[in-house]
Amino acid sequence: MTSSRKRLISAAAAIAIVAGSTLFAAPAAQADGGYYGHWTLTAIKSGTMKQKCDGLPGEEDKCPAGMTLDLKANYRYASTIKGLEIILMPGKGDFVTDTVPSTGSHVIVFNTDEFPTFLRAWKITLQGTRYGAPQKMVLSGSFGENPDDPAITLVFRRDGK
Amino acid sequence: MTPTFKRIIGAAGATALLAGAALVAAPAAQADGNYYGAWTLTAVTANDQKQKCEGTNKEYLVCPSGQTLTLKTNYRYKASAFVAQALFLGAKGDQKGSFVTTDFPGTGDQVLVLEGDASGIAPLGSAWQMVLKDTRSGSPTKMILTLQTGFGEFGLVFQRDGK
Repeated sequence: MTSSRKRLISAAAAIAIVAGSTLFAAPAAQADGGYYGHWTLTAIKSGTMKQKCDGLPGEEDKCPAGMTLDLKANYRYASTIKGLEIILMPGKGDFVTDTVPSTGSHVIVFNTDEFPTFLRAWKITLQGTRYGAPQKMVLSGSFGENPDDPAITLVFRRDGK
Repeated sequence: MTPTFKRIIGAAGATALLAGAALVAAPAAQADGNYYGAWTLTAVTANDQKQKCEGTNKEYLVCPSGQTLTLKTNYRYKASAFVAQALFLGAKGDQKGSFVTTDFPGTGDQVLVLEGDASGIAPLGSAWQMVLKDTRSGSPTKMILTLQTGFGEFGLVFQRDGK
C-alpha cells in the first residue's frame, strides 16, 4: 500500500475516533424496504481495529454515538458522519445503487452537493431481513490490492438498534 | 507544476513509473459504441494544471505515453499499470477487474464504477464521473474521467486509439 493511502486512511480513522460530535437521537425507522431509511452508525472497523460508536460528545478516542445516514427514496442522502471526510463527506447529496454484473457486488455511490465530482463508492450489504425491511447495513471498502491492506467497514443499524 | 499536482501524480504514478512498466501500444478501436473499447490516456489534469502523456517510461515523466484502459463488453476492464495507479486502483493487483456504469437519477451524471479483482470496491477510486465526447462519427472518441479527491480535482483524458 502506498504511503499516501496509508496517510489517507490513517487520517480518516483517527479523526473518526477523536472527533466528538453532537449526540443525535435516532428517529423512527422508515419501513419502505431495502436500503432506504434512516441508519445510525454503530461501529467502524479498520483492519483489525473495531470501534463501537457509543462515545459521548467530546469523549476522546471514541467514535461518537448518534451519527446517521439517511437514504431517501428520491435518491438523496443526508449524512451527519464526521471524521471520514476523505471517503464519506458529511452533508447532503445524491446517491445511486447498482450491481456489478460480473461479480454481483452491490455498490452504492455517493456524490456530495458540495463538489460535483466528489464520488465515493462502497460495497453495500443488507442483513436482518427476517421481519421485513433490513435492520442492518454494512458499507465496506478497501484501500489496497493486497489482503493485508486495511479495509474499512461501516456498520449501521436502522434506528440504531 | 504545483506541489499538489505533483503529490497527486506522484501518489498515483510513481510506483508504476519506477517499476518500468512496458510501453503498451494502443490497440485497435472497438466500434461497439459508447464506452466500450480500448482507450489511450492522453493527458492528466489536476485542478487547472494539465500534463500531456507523451514520451517513454525511460525518461522521468509524470505521464508516459501508451497507457491504456480497456472496457470490455463482458463488463471486465484491463488497465495499464500507470492507469491503474492513476485511478487509485492499486499498484499490482487491480490492472484487471469488473466495471459497471450507472447514472445518478437526480442529475443524470454518468458514473464509471470499477471493482478490482484484488482489492474490490475502494471508497476512493472506484467511482469516477464519466463524460463521453466527440460522437460526430458514431462512437465517442474521447472519454474524460474526473474525481474530486479531497485535495484537488483529478482528471484523466482518454482518446479511443489514442488519436
